[in-house]
Amino acid sequence: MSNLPPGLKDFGARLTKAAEGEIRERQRPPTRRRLRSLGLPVTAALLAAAVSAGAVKLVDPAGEPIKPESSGGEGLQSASDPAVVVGSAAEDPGGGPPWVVRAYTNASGLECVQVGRLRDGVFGQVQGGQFRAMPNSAPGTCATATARGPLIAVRRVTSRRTLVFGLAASREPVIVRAGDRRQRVVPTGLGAFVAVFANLSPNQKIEVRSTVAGRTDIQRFS
Amino acid sequence: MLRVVGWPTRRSANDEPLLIKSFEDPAAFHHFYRAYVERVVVFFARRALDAETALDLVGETFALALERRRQFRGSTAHEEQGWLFAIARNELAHYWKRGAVERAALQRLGCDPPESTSEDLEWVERVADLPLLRTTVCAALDDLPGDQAYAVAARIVDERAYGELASELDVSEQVVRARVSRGLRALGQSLSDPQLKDLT
Repeated sequence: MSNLPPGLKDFGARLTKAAEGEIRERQRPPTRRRLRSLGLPVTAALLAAAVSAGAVKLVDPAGEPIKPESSGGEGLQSASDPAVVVGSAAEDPGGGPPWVVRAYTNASGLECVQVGRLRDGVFGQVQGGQFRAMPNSAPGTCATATARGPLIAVRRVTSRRTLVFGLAASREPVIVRAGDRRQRVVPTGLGAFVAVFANLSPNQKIEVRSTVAGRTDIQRFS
Repeated sequence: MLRVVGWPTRRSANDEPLLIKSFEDPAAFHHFYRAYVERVVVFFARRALDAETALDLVGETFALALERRRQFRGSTAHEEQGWLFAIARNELAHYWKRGAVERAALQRLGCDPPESTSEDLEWVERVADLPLLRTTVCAALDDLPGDQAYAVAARIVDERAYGELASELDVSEQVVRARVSRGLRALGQSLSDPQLKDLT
Protein backbone atom coordinates (compact mmCIF):
# COMPACT_ATOMS: atom_id res chain seq x y z
CA MET A 1 0.00 0.00 0.00
CA SER A 2 1.47 3.34 -0.97
CA ASN A 3 1.57 6.27 1.41
CA LEU A 4 -1.48 8.43 1.03
CA PRO A 5 -1.13 12.15 0.30
CA PRO A 6 -2.13 14.56 3.10
CA GLY A 7 -5.69 15.32 1.92
CA LEU A 8 -6.68 11.66 1.71
CA LYS A 9 -4.87 10.86 4.95
CA ASP A 10 -6.77 13.60 6.79
CA PHE A 11 -10.03 12.50 5.23
CA GLY A 12 -9.45 8.95 6.51
CA ALA A 13 -8.88 10.34 10.00
CA ARG A 14 -12.10 12.37 9.80
CA LEU A 15 -14.07 9.32 8.70
CA THR A 16 -12.64 7.32 11.58
CA LYS A 17 -13.69 10.06 13.97
CA ALA A 18 -17.17 10.04 12.45
CA ALA A 19 -17.28 6.24 12.90
CA GLU A 20 -16.26 6.67 16.55
CA GLY A 21 -19.05 9.19 17.07
CA GLU A 22 -21.64 6.96 15.39
CA ILE A 23 -20.64 3.91 17.45
CA ARG A 24 -20.66 5.95 20.66
CA GLU A 25 -24.10 7.30 19.79
CA ARG A 26 -25.48 3.82 19.14
CA GLN A 27 -24.08 2.49 22.39
CA ARG A 28 -25.89 5.17 24.37
CA PRO A 29 -29.26 4.27 25.79
CA PRO A 30 -32.13 5.64 23.71
CA THR A 31 -32.69 9.39 24.06
CA ARG A 32 -35.72 8.86 26.24
CA ARG A 33 -33.79 7.05 28.93
CA ARG A 34 -30.87 9.45 28.70
CA LEU A 35 -33.14 12.41 29.22
CA ARG A 36 -34.96 10.75 32.07
CA SER A 37 -31.78 9.79 33.83
CA LEU A 38 -30.65 13.38 33.57
CA GLY A 39 -34.04 14.63 34.58
CA LEU A 40 -34.26 12.82 37.89
CA PRO A 41 -31.32 14.60 39.53
CA VAL A 42 -32.67 17.82 38.09
CA THR A 43 -36.02 17.16 39.72
CA ALA A 44 -34.29 16.37 42.98
CA ALA A 45 -32.37 19.62 42.75
CA LEU A 46 -35.54 21.56 42.09
CA LEU A 47 -37.27 19.92 45.03
CA ALA A 48 -34.31 20.70 47.25
CA ALA A 49 -34.39 24.30 46.06
CA ALA A 50 -38.11 24.45 46.75
CA VAL A 51 -37.65 23.19 50.26
CA SER A 52 -34.80 25.55 51.00
CA ALA A 53 -36.55 28.55 49.51
CA GLY A 54 -39.70 27.73 51.35
CA ALA A 55 -42.13 29.15 48.84
CA VAL A 56 -40.72 28.27 45.46
CA LYS A 57 -43.42 26.95 43.17
CA LEU A 58 -42.49 24.15 40.78
CA VAL A 59 -44.06 25.12 37.52
CA ASP A 60 -44.71 22.37 35.07
CA PRO A 61 -43.64 22.38 32.24
CA ALA A 62 -40.89 24.91 32.82
CA GLY A 63 -38.69 22.13 34.14
CA GLU A 64 -35.01 22.22 33.65
CA PRO A 65 -33.45 22.66 30.24
CA ILE A 66 -31.01 20.06 29.07
CA LYS A 67 -28.29 21.36 26.87
CA PRO A 68 -28.10 19.49 23.57
CA GLU A 69 -24.75 17.95 22.61
CA SER A 70 -24.64 20.12 19.53
CA SER A 71 -26.91 22.96 18.73
CA GLY A 72 -25.93 23.07 15.04
CA GLY A 73 -28.02 25.63 13.22
CA GLU A 74 -25.16 27.47 11.58
CA GLY A 75 -26.25 30.88 10.49
CA LEU A 76 -28.87 31.16 13.21
CA GLN A 77 -28.48 33.16 16.34
CA SER A 78 -28.02 31.04 19.41
CA ALA A 79 -31.02 30.93 21.72
CA SER A 80 -31.02 32.64 25.07
CA ASP A 81 -32.85 29.57 26.43
CA PRO A 82 -30.44 26.61 26.41
CA ALA A 83 -33.34 24.16 26.12
CA VAL A 84 -34.03 25.41 22.60
CA VAL A 85 -32.40 23.11 20.06
CA VAL A 86 -31.29 25.68 17.50
CA GLY A 87 -30.10 22.97 15.12
CA SER A 88 -33.68 21.74 14.72
CA ALA A 89 -34.64 24.98 12.93
CA ALA A 90 -36.99 24.51 9.99
CA GLU A 91 -38.13 27.27 7.67
CA ASP A 92 -41.73 28.28 7.48
CA PRO A 93 -43.07 28.14 3.90
CA GLY A 94 -44.41 31.65 4.38
CA GLY A 95 -41.11 33.01 5.68
CA GLY A 96 -40.53 34.63 9.04
CA PRO A 97 -38.68 33.19 12.02
CA PRO A 98 -37.82 29.50 11.75
CA TRP A 99 -39.59 26.83 13.79
CA VAL A 100 -37.51 25.17 16.51
CA VAL A 101 -37.97 22.57 19.21
CA ARG A 102 -37.54 23.27 22.90
CA ALA A 103 -36.68 20.12 24.88
CA TYR A 104 -36.76 19.94 28.65
CA THR A 105 -37.57 17.63 31.52
CA ASN A 106 -40.59 18.50 33.58
CA ALA A 107 -40.75 18.42 37.35
CA SER A 108 -41.58 14.71 37.18
CA GLY A 109 -38.40 14.00 35.28
CA LEU A 110 -40.19 13.27 32.02
CA GLU A 111 -38.92 14.61 28.75
CA CYS A 112 -41.12 17.16 27.06
CA VAL A 113 -41.10 19.15 23.85
CA GLN A 114 -42.55 22.41 22.71
CA VAL A 115 -42.44 23.94 19.28
CA GLY A 116 -42.10 27.62 18.63
CA ARG A 117 -40.28 30.15 16.53
CA LEU A 118 -36.86 31.62 17.11
CA ARG A 119 -36.26 35.30 16.61
CA ASP A 120 -33.20 37.16 17.85
CA GLY A 121 -32.42 34.23 20.11
CA VAL A 122 -35.88 34.31 21.73
CA PHE A 123 -38.19 31.28 21.63
CA GLY A 124 -41.70 32.46 20.95
CA GLN A 125 -44.72 32.49 18.72
CA VAL A 126 -46.23 34.77 16.12
CA GLN A 127 -49.76 35.89 16.96
CA GLY A 128 -51.63 38.47 14.95
CA GLY A 129 -48.46 39.32 13.10
CA GLN A 130 -46.62 40.02 16.35
CA PHE A 131 -43.79 37.94 17.76
CA ARG A 132 -44.17 37.17 21.44
CA ALA A 133 -41.86 35.25 23.73
CA MET A 134 -43.28 31.89 24.77
CA PRO A 135 -43.81 31.76 28.54
CA ASN A 136 -42.34 28.80 30.39
CA SER A 137 -45.84 27.91 31.50
CA ALA A 138 -46.90 27.25 27.89
CA PRO A 139 -48.05 23.66 27.49
CA GLY A 140 -45.68 21.07 26.10
CA THR A 141 -46.03 17.47 25.02
CA CYS A 142 -44.46 15.11 27.52
CA ALA A 143 -43.57 11.45 27.43
CA THR A 144 -45.22 9.04 29.78
CA ALA A 145 -43.11 7.33 32.40
CA THR A 146 -43.30 3.99 30.60
CA ALA A 147 -42.92 5.28 27.06
CA ARG A 148 -39.99 4.14 24.97
CA GLY A 149 -38.80 5.20 21.56
CA PRO A 150 -39.31 8.59 20.02
CA LEU A 151 -41.42 11.39 21.47
CA ILE A 152 -43.48 12.78 18.60
CA ALA A 153 -46.20 15.40 18.58
CA VAL A 154 -48.41 16.92 15.90
CA ARG A 155 -49.66 20.46 16.36
CA ARG A 156 -51.90 22.43 14.09
CA VAL A 157 -50.84 25.96 14.96
CA THR A 158 -53.06 27.77 12.46
CA SER A 159 -55.50 26.62 9.84
CA ARG A 160 -52.60 26.69 7.39
CA ARG A 161 -49.72 25.23 9.38
CA THR A 162 -49.31 21.77 10.78
CA LEU A 163 -46.12 20.94 12.65
CA VAL A 164 -44.79 17.47 13.29
CA PHE A 165 -42.00 17.62 15.83
CA GLY A 166 -40.33 15.82 18.64
CA LEU A 167 -37.28 13.91 19.75
CA ALA A 168 -36.19 10.94 17.67
CA ALA A 169 -34.36 8.09 19.34
CA SER A 170 -31.52 8.24 16.82
CA ARG A 171 -30.00 10.57 14.26
CA GLU A 172 -31.32 8.52 11.35
CA PRO A 173 -33.61 10.61 9.13
CA VAL A 174 -37.24 10.87 10.16
CA ILE A 175 -39.76 10.46 7.35
CA VAL A 176 -43.07 12.28 7.78
CA ARG A 177 -45.89 11.52 5.38
CA ALA A 178 -49.13 13.45 5.13
CA GLY A 179 -51.16 11.96 2.29
CA ASP A 180 -49.03 12.22 -0.83
CA ARG A 181 -46.69 14.73 0.78
CA ARG A 182 -43.48 13.53 2.33
CA GLN A 183 -40.73 15.23 4.28
CA ARG A 184 -37.39 13.80 5.31
CA VAL A 185 -35.91 15.50 8.35
CA VAL A 186 -32.54 14.77 9.88
CA PRO A 187 -32.72 14.97 13.68
CA THR A 188 -30.17 17.13 15.40
CA GLY A 189 -29.12 17.66 19.04
CA LEU A 190 -31.11 15.37 21.39
CA GLY A 191 -32.80 13.93 18.29
CA ALA A 192 -34.92 17.08 17.88
CA PHE A 193 -36.70 17.62 14.59
CA VAL A 194 -39.53 19.70 13.11
CA ALA A 195 -41.39 19.16 9.84
CA VAL A 196 -43.59 22.03 8.71
CA PHE A 197 -46.57 21.40 6.44
CA ALA A 198 -48.68 24.09 4.81
CA ASN A 199 -52.40 23.82 4.09
CA LEU A 200 -53.01 20.27 5.23
CA SER A 201 -56.59 19.17 5.44
CA PRO A 202 -57.77 19.10 9.10
CA ASN A 203 -58.51 15.39 8.77
CA GLN A 204 -55.23 14.52 7.10
CA LYS A 205 -53.64 11.41 8.57
CA ILE A 206 -49.95 11.69 9.34
CA GLU A 207 -47.41 8.92 9.53
CA VAL A 208 -44.00 9.33 11.14
CA ARG A 209 -41.23 6.80 10.56
CA SER A 210 -38.09 6.97 12.65
CA THR A 211 -35.36 4.58 13.71
CA VAL A 212 -35.16 3.06 17.17
CA ALA A 213 -32.22 0.77 17.91
CA GLY A 214 -31.77 0.07 14.20
CA ARG A 215 -35.43 -0.71 13.58
CA THR A 216 -38.11 1.38 11.95
CA ASP A 217 -40.69 2.78 14.34
CA ILE A 218 -43.96 3.94 12.79
CA GLN A 219 -46.38 6.26 14.54
CA ARG A 220 -49.64 7.38 13.01
CA PHE A 221 -51.67 10.45 13.88
CA SER A 222 -55.13 11.33 12.67
CA MET B 1 -2.95 -0.35 -25.05
CA LEU B 2 -2.65 1.38 -21.69
CA ARG B 3 0.15 0.62 -19.33
CA VAL B 4 -0.98 -1.56 -16.46
CA VAL B 5 -0.09 0.02 -13.17
CA GLY B 6 -0.94 -3.10 -11.19
CA TRP B 7 -3.01 -3.49 -8.08
CA PRO B 8 -1.29 -3.93 -4.78
CA THR B 9 -2.89 -6.93 -3.12
CA ARG B 10 -3.99 -5.90 0.32
CA ARG B 11 -6.60 -8.39 1.32
CA SER B 12 -7.26 -12.03 0.52
CA ALA B 13 -10.64 -12.72 -0.99
CA ASN B 14 -11.73 -14.83 1.97
CA ASP B 15 -10.55 -12.51 4.72
CA GLU B 16 -13.15 -11.49 7.24
CA PRO B 17 -14.79 -8.23 6.11
CA LEU B 18 -13.43 -5.16 7.83
CA LEU B 19 -16.84 -3.58 7.41
CA ILE B 20 -18.37 -6.02 9.87
CA LYS B 21 -15.61 -5.39 12.40
CA SER B 22 -16.21 -1.67 11.93
CA PHE B 23 -19.75 -1.99 13.30
CA GLU B 24 -18.21 -1.74 16.76
CA ASP B 25 -14.61 -0.78 16.09
CA PRO B 26 -13.82 2.56 14.42
CA ALA B 27 -10.23 1.48 13.80
CA ALA B 28 -11.57 -1.26 11.52
CA PHE B 29 -13.23 1.36 9.37
CA HIS B 30 -9.89 3.12 9.14
CA HIS B 31 -8.30 -0.14 7.94
CA PHE B 32 -11.16 -0.56 5.46
CA TYR B 33 -10.52 2.94 4.11
CA ARG B 34 -6.79 2.36 3.84
CA ALA B 35 -7.31 -1.01 2.17
CA TYR B 36 -9.49 0.32 -0.63
CA VAL B 37 -9.02 4.06 -1.00
CA GLU B 38 -6.31 3.85 -3.63
CA ARG B 39 -8.35 1.52 -5.82
CA VAL B 40 -11.41 3.71 -5.47
CA VAL B 41 -9.36 6.79 -6.37
CA VAL B 42 -8.06 5.05 -9.50
CA PHE B 43 -11.56 3.81 -10.36
CA PHE B 44 -12.92 7.36 -10.38
CA ALA B 45 -9.87 9.13 -11.79
CA ARG B 46 -9.70 6.87 -14.84
CA ARG B 47 -13.36 7.45 -15.57
CA ALA B 48 -13.72 11.12 -14.77
CA LEU B 49 -10.20 11.87 -16.07
CA ASP B 50 -9.99 14.58 -13.45
CA ALA B 51 -8.14 14.25 -10.16
CA GLU B 52 -10.23 16.78 -8.23
CA THR B 53 -13.52 15.22 -9.28
CA ALA B 54 -12.13 11.81 -8.37
CA LEU B 55 -11.31 13.00 -4.85
CA ASP B 56 -14.81 14.42 -4.40
CA LEU B 57 -16.36 11.15 -5.57
CA VAL B 58 -14.07 9.20 -3.25
CA GLY B 59 -15.26 11.34 -0.35
CA GLU B 60 -18.94 10.74 -0.95
CA THR B 61 -18.39 7.03 -1.64
CA PHE B 62 -16.62 6.38 1.66
CA ALA B 63 -19.10 8.58 3.53
CA LEU B 64 -21.90 6.41 2.13
CA ALA B 65 -19.95 3.25 2.98
CA LEU B 66 -19.62 4.44 6.57
CA GLU B 67 -23.24 5.44 6.78
CA ARG B 68 -24.60 2.23 5.22
CA ARG B 69 -22.08 -0.31 6.47
CA ARG B 70 -24.62 -2.00 8.72
CA GLN B 71 -26.57 -2.91 5.60
CA PHE B 72 -23.64 -5.01 4.34
CA ARG B 73 -24.61 -8.69 4.42
CA GLY B 74 -21.49 -10.32 2.96
CA SER B 75 -19.03 -12.54 4.76
CA THR B 76 -15.81 -12.16 2.78
CA ALA B 77 -13.43 -9.39 1.77
CA HIS B 78 -14.35 -10.14 -1.85
CA GLU B 79 -18.01 -9.36 -1.16
CA GLU B 80 -17.00 -6.31 0.83
CA GLN B 81 -15.05 -5.00 -2.13
CA GLY B 82 -17.98 -5.67 -4.47
CA TRP B 83 -20.30 -3.80 -2.10
CA LEU B 84 -17.98 -0.78 -1.98
CA PHE B 85 -17.57 -0.63 -5.75
CA ALA B 86 -21.32 -0.93 -6.22
CA ILE B 87 -21.58 2.33 -4.25
CA ALA B 88 -18.75 3.81 -6.32
CA ARG B 89 -20.42 2.86 -9.62
CA ASN B 90 -23.67 4.33 -8.43
CA GLU B 91 -21.97 7.59 -7.45
CA LEU B 92 -20.27 7.73 -10.83
CA ALA B 93 -23.60 7.21 -12.59
CA HIS B 94 -25.07 10.08 -10.54
CA TYR B 95 -22.11 12.21 -11.49
CA TRP B 96 -22.55 11.56 -15.20
CA LYS B 97 -26.25 12.20 -14.96
CA ARG B 98 -26.08 15.42 -12.95
CA GLY B 99 -22.68 16.73 -13.91
CA ALA B 100 -21.95 17.36 -10.24
CA VAL B 101 -20.73 15.28 -7.32
CA GLU B 102 -23.23 14.49 -4.56
CA ARG B 103 -22.19 15.55 -1.07
CA ALA B 104 -25.29 14.53 0.85
CA ALA B 105 -23.68 11.73 2.89
CA LEU B 106 -20.68 13.91 3.70
CA GLN B 107 -23.01 16.63 4.89
CA ARG B 108 -24.98 14.21 7.04
CA LEU B 109 -21.71 13.09 8.64
CA GLY B 110 -20.59 16.69 9.04
CA CYS B 111 -17.44 15.79 7.14
CA ASP B 112 -15.68 17.75 4.39
CA PRO B 113 -14.49 15.89 1.27
CA PRO B 114 -10.78 15.15 0.91
CA GLU B 115 -8.81 18.31 0.44
CA SER B 116 -7.37 18.65 -3.06
CA THR B 117 -3.85 19.66 -2.12
CA SER B 118 -1.36 19.81 -4.98
CA GLU B 119 0.29 16.76 -3.47
CA ASP B 120 -3.01 14.89 -3.55
CA LEU B 121 -3.75 15.89 -7.14
CA GLU B 122 -0.28 14.85 -8.28
CA TRP B 123 -0.65 11.56 -6.43
CA VAL B 124 -3.98 10.84 -8.12
CA GLU B 125 -2.53 11.68 -11.53
CA ARG B 126 0.34 9.31 -10.84
CA VAL B 127 -1.49 6.30 -9.39
CA ALA B 128 -4.19 6.51 -12.05
CA ASP B 129 -1.64 7.14 -14.79
CA LEU B 130 -3.82 9.96 -16.06
CA PRO B 131 -1.36 11.72 -18.43
CA LEU B 132 -0.97 8.59 -20.53
CA LEU B 133 -4.67 7.83 -20.34
CA ARG B 134 -5.54 11.34 -21.53
CA THR B 135 -3.22 10.97 -24.50
CA THR B 136 -4.76 7.63 -25.37
CA VAL B 137 -8.26 9.01 -24.94
CA CYS B 138 -7.51 11.94 -27.25
CA ALA B 139 -6.37 9.50 -29.93
CA ALA B 140 -9.46 7.34 -29.40
CA LEU B 141 -11.72 10.38 -29.67
CA ASP B 142 -11.10 10.38 -33.41
CA ASP B 143 -12.98 7.11 -33.71
CA LEU B 144 -16.15 8.42 -32.06
CA PRO B 145 -19.12 9.88 -33.97
CA GLY B 146 -18.58 13.62 -34.38
CA ASP B 147 -21.31 14.79 -31.99
CA GLN B 148 -20.10 12.52 -29.18
CA ALA B 149 -16.45 13.37 -29.74
CA TYR B 150 -17.21 17.07 -29.60
CA ALA B 151 -19.33 16.72 -26.45
CA VAL B 152 -16.71 14.60 -24.66
CA ALA B 153 -13.86 16.91 -25.62
CA ALA B 154 -15.77 20.06 -24.69
CA ARG B 155 -17.02 18.71 -21.39
CA ILE B 156 -14.13 16.54 -20.18
CA VAL B 157 -11.08 18.14 -21.76
CA ASP B 158 -12.19 21.78 -21.83
CA GLU B 159 -14.41 21.38 -18.73
CA ARG B 160 -17.23 23.45 -20.21
CA ALA B 161 -20.59 23.48 -18.46
CA TYR B 162 -23.44 21.31 -19.76
CA GLY B 163 -25.74 24.34 -19.95
CA GLU B 164 -23.27 26.29 -22.03
CA LEU B 165 -22.82 23.39 -24.44
CA ALA B 166 -26.57 22.90 -24.70
CA SER B 167 -27.00 26.54 -25.73
CA GLU B 168 -24.19 26.37 -28.23
CA LEU B 169 -25.46 23.17 -29.85
CA ASP B 170 -29.12 24.19 -29.56
CA VAL B 171 -30.10 20.97 -27.80
CA SER B 172 -31.19 20.20 -24.25
CA GLU B 173 -28.71 19.62 -21.43
CA GLN B 174 -30.01 16.08 -21.27
CA VAL B 175 -28.93 15.49 -24.86
CA VAL B 176 -25.44 16.84 -24.14
CA ARG B 177 -25.17 14.63 -21.07
CA ALA B 178 -26.28 11.62 -23.10
CA ARG B 179 -23.68 12.34 -25.77
CA VAL B 180 -20.93 12.68 -23.18
CA SER B 181 -22.06 9.55 -21.40
CA ARG B 182 -22.32 7.48 -24.60
CA GLY B 183 -19.02 8.84 -25.82
CA LEU B 184 -17.21 7.95 -22.62
CA ARG B 185 -18.76 4.50 -22.59
CA ALA B 186 -17.62 3.91 -26.15
CA LEU B 187 -14.17 5.21 -25.28
CA GLY B 188 -13.97 2.90 -22.29
CA GLN B 189 -14.84 -0.07 -24.48
CA SER B 190 -12.46 0.85 -27.24
CA LEU B 191 -9.59 1.43 -24.83
CA SER B 192 -9.79 -2.14 -23.50
CA ASP B 193 -8.25 -0.96 -20.28
CA PRO B 194 -7.63 -3.99 -18.07
CA GLN B 195 -7.88 -1.83 -14.97
CA LEU B 196 -11.25 -0.48 -15.99
CA LYS B 197 -12.47 -4.00 -16.66
CA ASP B 198 -11.08 -5.19 -13.37
CA LEU B 199 -13.22 -2.77 -11.47
CA THR B 200 -16.48 -2.72 -13.36
